[in-house]
Amino acid sequence: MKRLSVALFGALGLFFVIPLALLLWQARGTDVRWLDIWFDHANLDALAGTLTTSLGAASIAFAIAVPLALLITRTALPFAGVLRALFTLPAALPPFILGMGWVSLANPRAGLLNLALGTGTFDIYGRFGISFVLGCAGLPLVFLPTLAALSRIDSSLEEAARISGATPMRTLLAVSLPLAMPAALSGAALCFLFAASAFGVPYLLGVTATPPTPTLTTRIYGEILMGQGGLPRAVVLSLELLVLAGVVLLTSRSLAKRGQVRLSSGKGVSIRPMELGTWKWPLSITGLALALVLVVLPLLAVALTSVQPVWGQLTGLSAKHWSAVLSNPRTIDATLRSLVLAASAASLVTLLGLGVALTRRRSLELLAGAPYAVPGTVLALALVIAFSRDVRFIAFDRFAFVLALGNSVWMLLVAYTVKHLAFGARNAADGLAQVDASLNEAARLSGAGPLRAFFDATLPQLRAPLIAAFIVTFLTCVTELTLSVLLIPTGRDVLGTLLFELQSYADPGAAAVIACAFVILVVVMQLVQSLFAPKEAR
Amino acid sequence: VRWLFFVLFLAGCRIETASPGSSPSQGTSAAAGGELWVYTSVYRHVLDALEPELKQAMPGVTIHWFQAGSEKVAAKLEAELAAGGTPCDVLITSDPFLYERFKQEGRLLRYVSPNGLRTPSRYSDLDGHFAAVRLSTMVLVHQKGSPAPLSFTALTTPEWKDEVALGDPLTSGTAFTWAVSMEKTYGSTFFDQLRSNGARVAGGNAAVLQKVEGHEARAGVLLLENALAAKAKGSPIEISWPTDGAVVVPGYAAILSSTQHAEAAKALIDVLLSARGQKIIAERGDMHAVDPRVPGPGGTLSLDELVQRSAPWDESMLQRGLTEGARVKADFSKAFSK
Repeated sequence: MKRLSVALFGALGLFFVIPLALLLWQARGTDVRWLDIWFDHANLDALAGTLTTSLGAASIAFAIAVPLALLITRTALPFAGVLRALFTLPAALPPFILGMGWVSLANPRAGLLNLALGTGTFDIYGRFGISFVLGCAGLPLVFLPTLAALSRIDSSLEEAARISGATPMRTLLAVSLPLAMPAALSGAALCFLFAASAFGVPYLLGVTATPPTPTLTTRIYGEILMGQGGLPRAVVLSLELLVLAGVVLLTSRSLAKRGQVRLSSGKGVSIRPMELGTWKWPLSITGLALALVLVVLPLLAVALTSVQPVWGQLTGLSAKHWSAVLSNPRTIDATLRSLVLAASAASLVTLLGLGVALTRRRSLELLAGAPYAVPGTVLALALVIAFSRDVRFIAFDRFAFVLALGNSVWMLLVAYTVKHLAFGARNAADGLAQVDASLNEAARLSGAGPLRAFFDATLPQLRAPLIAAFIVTFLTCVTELTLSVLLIPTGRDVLGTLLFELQSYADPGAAAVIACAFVILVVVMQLVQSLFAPKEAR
Repeated sequence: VRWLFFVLFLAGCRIETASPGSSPSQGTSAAAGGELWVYTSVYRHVLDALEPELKQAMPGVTIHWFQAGSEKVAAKLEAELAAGGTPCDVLITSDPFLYERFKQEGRLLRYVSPNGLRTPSRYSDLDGHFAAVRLSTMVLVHQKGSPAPLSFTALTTPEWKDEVALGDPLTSGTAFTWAVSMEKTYGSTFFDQLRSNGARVAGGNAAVLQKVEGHEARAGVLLLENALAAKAKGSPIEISWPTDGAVVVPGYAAILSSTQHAEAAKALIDVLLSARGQKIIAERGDMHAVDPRVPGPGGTLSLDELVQRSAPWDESMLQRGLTEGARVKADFSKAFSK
């Protein structure tokens, strides 16, 4: 374990701490006073904006995802499979595109919903809008881990509660819910960090609001993008986000510790769904209605954008964008590269995250969670500074091991992995917290070595959270935009860079095509999976 | 496990030995040969159209393009410079103030292309550190069917109450240039007047266009090239040239003094400024060429007319952007934080 943690510390040090420190090192000498920057009036406003929108987003995601996950896994809810699939979808959409969907639906002057219900009914601009859209986009971050945790609860506990006379409702709230709480809370913490480090949505919805809603990320981007020595100030502001990440991760951990119960006594995890009785249909319809409003509606808006030749004009729909994007040879090339990169990054995140969780070191867990709170541009620039030139290790004055990451696809892989390591670490840690050591001990007593015992006894119990980590990372990385734009090697494309190009130069319609195509791909994959593995459903 | 990681890490490295036979060849770049790294904000389809010209003029040269928005290009370049070096040889973006700063920091190589002799003198550096190869222009756009705003100051009148979308000078370079020009002419109270008249900040140029197309605002301040491209797609917007002077944002090109391939870099700039290069830039990029023989994009003003009808651009504007830029941004965000 010790060696593992040294190796992981080393990797994170090389690819995260040192680059960030180098970036900060550039600030030396220049007239940058940390406290002045942190307590600058505008930056305090931005901090307030970040705190309120991120808390809002995390609460919205938590409030929707946890009850849904409970109903889907523990009860005989009609259309549970459909709901599960629908609420995973937002992970496949770049949050920025989701934001554009909501702008076309609910901007105060000409939003489709406002045109239908009367002007001024909704105003997507401002704090509430940002929280809402980020909450919807971050929903899978809470939803998937909670599902994974719930799916492994031994239903004999619930049966015991029922036999002792508890109502189904009480059983859910008093038995099932606390058991899933650690996973749900750390999902909410991830959602908070996701919202705090997001730029696209707060910018899109914040800058137009009256008064504007500033966030730390919009300040950071302003400093970086407009040059003239803004980089050091941006890094100092990012450190504020890092501190915030530490606080949030520690809080969620200590909250989760309280209700922790070890579970999964190995075999016999068979779930008997609870009957809902008269509540069955009202609950199901509520769930479907929520999915309709939170997921399907913005998706439809994005799809509509993709067939509008002109933004916001409903006349003269055409497939022009679709044919232009799909007939572009660069699209296919970029798609393949993105899929391979995302799959590799997701595997690495899952494996390394498991490693982090296995060491059970709090410092390592915090370090693994920290990169997720750093805005993508800052992380990308730190990597540029550290690795734009080859790093050489000379052995025996004879051999040089040259780490040539600059301008190569490996740099993107490193960036994706470092940024999303939090997904793997949190999911694996929550999974491990639920695993009872008795099975492992039994294996050891029966003569298995430590590795063998781990692979045969512990690992199978971690399957659900590890798969959840893989899926979330994969979906996020395929359309990742911020890191990709700065780190892409010349002459290559990934979907993120294409999205960026289309959205800023061509038009949003063409960018919407890529988003739609990817969502369709995900839906098809889910359908295929459910067709070929009907018994695996739970 | 530690060793496993270490071995994996080393396996990820490229191995070079000190034996002479396998040393990578260096210094082989001939007069105009080798590899040229260009960081640019020129649109990809324009680069694609330029490719055959470049192939013909510089047969032995492989060009690597890093293409992104001006601001992102600058951020990457500065990070690399901070790290001690950049592969970038030629920089072609539309962020004029960066070039003036780089010139002052001694980062640019002087070169005056013979093809650039027709360029109006206000658009190139007199010392030859940088020169415009294209001109973007901030103009007014409005919805088809509505009366046109006649000037930028008209946007503060009651007729345009709550109907105006602007770019954000804090994140968009062209909007910043516009704001500096406006502040120079009208003072920073202009921003207060805009805000109290209900103008809204939209983000980048694409966002301003969206707001006007989507009926969130009836008028906006937008790049000519975005407006022309949108019109070509059938967007119901109209362009109007402000009587108080459109704001030209020169798209400079410059060679970094750290370049190892100065000859190839100069050849590239010659191609961009050649009559054919200029024609491609103007036609495909929907912006003005700096060569007066090339007609204006989309049948709009010619270069001579543009010079007449735009706010004056000179050395003092560059200085102003560098020295007063931070204050202009602060004034703007203060005015719009209400």
